[in-house]
Amino acid sequence: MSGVPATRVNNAGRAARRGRRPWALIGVVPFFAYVIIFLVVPAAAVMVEAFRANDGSISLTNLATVLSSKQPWLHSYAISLELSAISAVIAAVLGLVGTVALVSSPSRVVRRLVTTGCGVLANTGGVPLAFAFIATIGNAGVVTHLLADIGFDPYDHGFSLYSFAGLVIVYLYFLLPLVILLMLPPVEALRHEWREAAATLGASSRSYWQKVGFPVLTPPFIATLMVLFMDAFAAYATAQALTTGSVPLVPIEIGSLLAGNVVTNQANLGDALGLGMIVIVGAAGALYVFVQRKTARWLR
Amino acid sequence: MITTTMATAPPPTSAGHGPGTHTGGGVAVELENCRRTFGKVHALDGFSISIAPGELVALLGPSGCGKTTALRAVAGLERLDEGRVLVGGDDITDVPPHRRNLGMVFQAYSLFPNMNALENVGFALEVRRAPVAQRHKRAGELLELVGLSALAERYPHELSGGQQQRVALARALCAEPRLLLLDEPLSALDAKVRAQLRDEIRRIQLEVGITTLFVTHDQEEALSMADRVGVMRAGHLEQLGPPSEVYSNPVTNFVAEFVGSVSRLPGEVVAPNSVDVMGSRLSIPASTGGDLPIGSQVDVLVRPESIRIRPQADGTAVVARAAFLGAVVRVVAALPNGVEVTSTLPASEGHTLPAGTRAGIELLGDVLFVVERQGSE
Amino acid sequence: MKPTRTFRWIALGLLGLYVLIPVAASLQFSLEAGYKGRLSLTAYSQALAEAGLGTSLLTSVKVAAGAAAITLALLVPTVIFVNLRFPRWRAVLDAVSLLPLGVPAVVIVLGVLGAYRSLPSIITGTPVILALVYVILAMPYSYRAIDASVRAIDMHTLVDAGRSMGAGWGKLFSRVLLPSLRSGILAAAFLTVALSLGEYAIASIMGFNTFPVWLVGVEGNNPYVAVALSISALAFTWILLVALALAGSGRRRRSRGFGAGLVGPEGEDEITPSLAPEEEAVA
Repeated sequence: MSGVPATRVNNAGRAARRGRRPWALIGVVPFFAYVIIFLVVPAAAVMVEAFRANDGSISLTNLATVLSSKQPWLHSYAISLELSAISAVIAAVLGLVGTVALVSSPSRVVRRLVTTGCGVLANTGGVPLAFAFIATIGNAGVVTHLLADIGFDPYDHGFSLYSFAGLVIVYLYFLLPLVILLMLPPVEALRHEWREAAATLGASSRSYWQKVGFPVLTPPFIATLMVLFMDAFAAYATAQALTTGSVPLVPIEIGSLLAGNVVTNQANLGDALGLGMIVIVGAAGALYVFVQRKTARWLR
Repeated sequence: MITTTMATAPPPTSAGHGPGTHTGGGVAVELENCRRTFGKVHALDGFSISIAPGELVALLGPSGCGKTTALRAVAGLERLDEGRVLVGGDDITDVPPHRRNLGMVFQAYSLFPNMNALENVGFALEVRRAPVAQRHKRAGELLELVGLSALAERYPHELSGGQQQRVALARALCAEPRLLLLDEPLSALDAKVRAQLRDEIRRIQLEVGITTLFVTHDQEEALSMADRVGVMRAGHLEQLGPPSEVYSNPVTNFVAEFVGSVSRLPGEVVAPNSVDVMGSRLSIPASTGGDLPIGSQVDVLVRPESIRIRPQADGTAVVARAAFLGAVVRVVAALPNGVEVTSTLPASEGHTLPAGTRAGIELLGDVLFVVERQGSE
Repeated sequence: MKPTRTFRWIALGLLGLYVLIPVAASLQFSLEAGYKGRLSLTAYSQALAEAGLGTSLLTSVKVAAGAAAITLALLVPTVIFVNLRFPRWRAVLDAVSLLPLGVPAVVIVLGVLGAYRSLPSIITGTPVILALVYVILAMPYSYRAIDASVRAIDMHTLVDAGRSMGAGWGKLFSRVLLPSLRSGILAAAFLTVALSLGEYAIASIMGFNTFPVWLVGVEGNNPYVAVALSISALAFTWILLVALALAGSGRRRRSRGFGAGLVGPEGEDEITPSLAPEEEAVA
């Protein structure tokens, strides 16, 4: 059956033809314009205004204020960082355990159920979540009462939902599912052939995990930690609904400044605080990207 | 589909002579009466085999026949419900896999992604806490043995399938195991690479002199590489013997039909050891079914090379189709009673038998096997 | 180290408990409404009668609808365009769509207030601005959803086939492209709506009375009502998201590698964050 030349979808030709009309890129302009207007400009505004003093001149006053040890702002950063880091680590470890448990399940139904559930829960947060926990372990909460009835009222022993510890517990609710979703692919990608090959080569289970399993899981794990950290650090609604400012977190402080609880000569202080947030979240994001690239190469 | 030369080398003798590759010959391996059931499936059902030191035995069979289970049982990756595994005389049935000192090559994807080729190969020594210099040196030797010294720094994802399997082989041999296990190592590779690697593996195995158990569903692989071939079916061995024997002297109908190709000719037993096939009398030894009662309707199995199809103007057969396979032409002719026979011709003669030609069938050489015909068409 | 069955049951069981207890407690809390042991729907009926419920819900719904509409209007043509004409720009768009994850919502609102203070109040003074900003917040998820479904169809072939039969771009769009992208479009819309309905930070700081903002106000007066409303809102969002997940499961995709739908280079058409390079779409 000769005579019919092989036809191939001529994408290369198309692209070449198009390459000569770069003005056609105008099609992506709306997208970029939108992102610029509603994301880049506001972010830039924050970064620029951080360096503006009350009289409009460029100065480092705001930065100095934020970084000053006589001011409360460093403390807020410390608390925010602590909260994010602790929640991230706890969620990551517990989530990893959950992921391993899930992957070992032979039932497709269970896996589908948990995965879908995690997808839903990871997007749950904010006000409803805070209230749900108030109903559970708030000082009039159902579980609180239950525990009180058996003689152990946590509030008598120093526990409070409306505190740092409480926030960690609540944050876990949407961070844990996120871990499972993020770590499921890497854990599933751990081929059983590796474990078996390692065994035939003389490696005990511990050796395998030490030399192959964990090293392979570490980059995705770090990437996950970064995502969790960024998520927790930026969280506002849950914290606000739960603690209404009693726990000094940076996002809350910014909100407070914007809401007018502001001393007049602190106009651009919020921007300085915002700049700090951008820097911190940006650093975590950069680390994420770096680790991601490494992983993508391996787990091909 | 033409099997030409088959490796009928006697079990090779000991010590490899490659640069520090392996000390001492292989060990003998025995499986005794192994049984393993998964739910209702009998993966292994009274499976026994003896492998001589330095021998390469191929386990051949259709999927589900238990060959992989047998291999994994030797490796310790699969436990046995019943039976024993002995390596070099030691009963290792209850020994966990990481203490068995065996080398295993998997079908694919078994290289550790976080290590380059050199580190992968040296892994067994790393686990045994050998010093780095020693590991790298040994790994380097093995990489040279498989011809990949230049790629020592590459990571698995930077290697082709064939290269990965070579590294896997080098890795398996690193700690001088007593036994080499290969689980369909070539199945995931392209045809050309497969053929190349097949010879490589055999060459290395002979050079190192290690006892090897090789599982495959590809007959050509089994017949061309092995010292002995074990044909398996439903959890047990149907026949174990040198490739030529398995090919030419099958002991069961299954082996006759599974290994190589056959044509089935209808016939009738007319006298002890004598069968009438299409008018000719053939004498059939009792061992291949000639002892069936007189009058039995039988099918006589013959190899394509035992059939000659020739153009014959007054022949009773008609060529049904002729397939050009490059070096040969496979001709299928239909007998008046509808039965088809297959034979092959050199390509230069193939043009003499286009479809529709009247042809004569001649039976040469030995009949492979005789089976009672089941029911009616 | 194969996790044993007991380990698996305990781990997953504890997780399940942790997830369900707050839900169950909320239900009980709202049904008891302060009277231990006595269940009633008082809190719920009070909730319905609560002043401001209607207006705040309406505001939220309008904002959510607006955000979804803008999202689709902006992203669908863009993604189609890029995939058709400039495939190499996909990576760029992908990265850009992830930028919002690097800028906390509070910072965005800070910046919007600062930069656009002087804009006509029809934009900044009404919830319109909320819809506009929510598009950005949802972008990492909505972009991914649309991009994934675009990837899954062979757009070039569809377009070529349509054009060769004489279809103009308009027809092509409405009768060929949009229907094939339905799942991605729905996913993007759902995600945007879910996010918009629950967003609190920006809405409260800018002083708009959306549902979550109003809800926080209610908590002070009547916590039982607040919880009743919360659990209803949660239930609603969950049902939305589950419906989305189930709809998306019609297309099974096998994937490997790390990456959340938020953060990987490739996307998925479900809310479940997804997995990087090697997807095989079953179109």
